[in-house]
Amino acid sequence: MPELEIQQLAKSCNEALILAALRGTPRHGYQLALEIEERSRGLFRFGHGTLYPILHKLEKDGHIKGAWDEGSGKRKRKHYELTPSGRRYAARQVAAWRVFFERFFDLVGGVES
Amino acid sequence: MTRFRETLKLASDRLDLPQPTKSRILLEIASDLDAAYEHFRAQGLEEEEAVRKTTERFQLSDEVLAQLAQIHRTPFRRLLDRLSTSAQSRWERLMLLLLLLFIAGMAGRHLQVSLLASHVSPFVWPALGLALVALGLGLHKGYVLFLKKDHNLRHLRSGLHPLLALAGVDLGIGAYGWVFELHAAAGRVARGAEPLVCTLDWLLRTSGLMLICLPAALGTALAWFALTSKAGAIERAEIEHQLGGDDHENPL
Repeated sequence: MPELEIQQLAKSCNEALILAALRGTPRHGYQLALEIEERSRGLFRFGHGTLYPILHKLEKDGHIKGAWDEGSGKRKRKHYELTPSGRRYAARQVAAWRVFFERFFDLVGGVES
Repeated sequence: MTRFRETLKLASDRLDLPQPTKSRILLEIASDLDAAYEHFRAQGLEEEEAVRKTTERFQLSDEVLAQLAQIHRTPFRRLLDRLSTSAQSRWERLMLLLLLLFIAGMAGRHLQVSLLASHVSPFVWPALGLALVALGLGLHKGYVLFLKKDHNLRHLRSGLHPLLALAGVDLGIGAYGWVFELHAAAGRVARGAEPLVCTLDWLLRTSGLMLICLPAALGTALAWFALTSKAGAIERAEIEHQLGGDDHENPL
């Protein structure tokens, strides 16, 4: 059963959010941050600088693939897309988060009642 | 665009990574800064306010930059960078060139005698073949960088690592041939051949081999130093140009 390490929650959360945002279509770094912020209605707001280590680590691990847009006259932009390995990794992450929340609410819900 | 030049320069100064990785990261950040700025402008913010808000959102802390450096740095890369940096000095390159010329001159004189006398190890031929391949690769890359001036960052460094590998393989062939010939000479002595003759024969054969392998490896490594330095200079100029935007002349 996939499990999350408590010390790595923030990292896992950011990775899951980025992978989810890339599920539909390739996106640039800034688009990703905006997309996550908008879809979470402002709850998950990235300092955009923090996005790059996560993106580059995922790219290095082969979960996403970066490529440069060859715009004519304008500055080149790097976009990212999910790889098959990234899809599997995202599924494992979601499963791990599901387990995490189930156990969390088992515990917290019990205290509340 | 120059509005984020200061932000990018600060990031560049603190991002401890070699080229072209550093340039690629800075270009990515630069393009996202522009996109964020345009987004804020489209929301109706004044230019100064859009710049301020964009800069605020892109907090490139030391921790973030250290994480990036850690992700991109590999042990092999560290080794290559050290070698490359040490070749930046003109004096070092001049000394290497003089050393190479000296060895090539001495090798040329002795090689004639060695080859004509046919007292040369068979390992000479693969070493010579690889030296010719390295020469071809080096000349081609030199032509692309210095004459054709094709400075596309994507394949600027392609073909450089094979040069270094060829230099290493040439040295390896020399070392292996040296030991192989020693083993063969020892075997002949064990079967009753005259030791002095065998030793002299071994010395003759392996010195001929070394006269090929050492200059070939040194020459290839020197070519790699020179071409890598040139590629690094092109990358630095290119990134300056890219980050400076359309209002700057390309310095290349």
